[in-house]
Amino acid sequence: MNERQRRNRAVSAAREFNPATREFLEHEFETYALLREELPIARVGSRSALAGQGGDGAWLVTRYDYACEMLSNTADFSSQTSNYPVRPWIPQAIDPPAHTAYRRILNKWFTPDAMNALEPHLRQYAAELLEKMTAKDEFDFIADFADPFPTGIFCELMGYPMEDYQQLMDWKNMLMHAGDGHSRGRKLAAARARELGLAVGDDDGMTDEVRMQVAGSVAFALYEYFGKLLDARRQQPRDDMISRLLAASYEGERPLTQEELLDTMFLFFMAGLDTVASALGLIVKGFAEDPVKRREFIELMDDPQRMSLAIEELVRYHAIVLLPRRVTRDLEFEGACLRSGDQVICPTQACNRDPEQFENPDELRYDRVPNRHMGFGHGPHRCLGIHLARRELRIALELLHRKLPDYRLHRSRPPELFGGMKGVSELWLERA
Amino acid sequence: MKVTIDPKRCQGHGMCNMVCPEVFRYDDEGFGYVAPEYENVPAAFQDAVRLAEIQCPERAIVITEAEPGESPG
Repeated sequence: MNERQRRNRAVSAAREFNPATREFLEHEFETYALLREELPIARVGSRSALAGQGGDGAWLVTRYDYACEMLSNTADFSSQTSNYPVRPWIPQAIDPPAHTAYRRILNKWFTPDAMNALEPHLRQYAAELLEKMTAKDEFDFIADFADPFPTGIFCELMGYPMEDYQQLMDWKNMLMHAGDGHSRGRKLAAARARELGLAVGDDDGMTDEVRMQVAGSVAFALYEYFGKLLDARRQQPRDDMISRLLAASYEGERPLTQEELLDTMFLFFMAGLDTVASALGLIVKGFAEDPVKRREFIELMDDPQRMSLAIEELVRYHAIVLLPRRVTRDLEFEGACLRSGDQVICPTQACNRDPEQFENPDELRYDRVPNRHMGFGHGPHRCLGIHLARRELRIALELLHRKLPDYRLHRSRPPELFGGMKGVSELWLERA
Repeated sequence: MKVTIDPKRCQGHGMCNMVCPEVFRYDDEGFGYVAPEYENVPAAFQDAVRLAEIQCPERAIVITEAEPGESPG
């Protein structure tokens, strides 16, 4: 391919950009590398479907330094993007100064100290799940561990009754995975759509509009569910996040309104149920495919310093989120003319593999320094649950590999990936 | 060697605390600050402080090396 053809191919890749398809995932890093070299700010075409990110008028940003600049500049690049089933989520879709005030309330519940206190419980719960999982010779790592471990912990922290676990997971899957390759999400969303009397294909196919209507109905059910929990905790507070939110004060001036409480709970739900599960799925899939890297990891697990560097590298390498922003005024950015209202999408998958920032970016190097990766985001919106996520990843990976150092992909059940907000929905493993 | 954290840049990723918990503490909201007793960084922590500066995703750590001739901190 000559230079001109390469550039033309980059233009086409941007035009058709759809991170939620299997075809894209097969060439994901190649495509991002091509775009980064040829069109680091690429106009995404109308044929692209940006899985819930708002399609038309978007720019795809694949350079690390560009993305950092945008994510730090909250005045020109707003987090309130578009298409919320009810209202923008707090604090993720809110800009400073209100964002700062909300984070001031939430940050102190998620400090490393606060998470230290959870460590024994995390270890015990992980060990229990692993005991059950490894009693079998073949198992779906997602259903048996990657989903229930972080989600169970999250339900406890929030104060959701554990018996609601399956319902919460089903809602989450309908809301986030109706059309991204996640077969359970697709099936559930199609069933919901049929209940609502909407058009669904025989293959469970749905238009974007139908998916939005399903999302709206699920969000409505969730808000109702959260409303009931808030009422219950108003009557009888407990030691959980719901009760803390009820007792919280906005800038020391007033309690949170009912809408603020609900919008915050909705964000917790969206951010807490999928993220660590997705990262664990991708990491363990990688280990199943590459026993050499797995063994290297097992060798360093006992050294806390090397282990924390390794966890950061795994998060860099297996990044899961696309970070969207909305341009708030007409402006020129590195030669590109961005218009007020345009969306910019920063895939952390692309930024974390920028060779100008990471030497040999496609190589997993457990001792990588520097490693200023964007796996937990960048700027004021960096992941609120960062310290919980790191700890869950460390504990899960350590205990899994103590219990079961050798495993491989199942001989006849291939992994099922989903894209957009990326992850693994089924990961069948067997003892090696 | 002196070290400070620029509070305008720090977003509380906590990387510095992971690398050198003695020097880099965090407040009750999880934002980093330098322990007052280690603003002049003892020789034993200087390598770790340099590593923290390199690793900070927000580039919020500012190191000032002593001028030649000054006694090391």
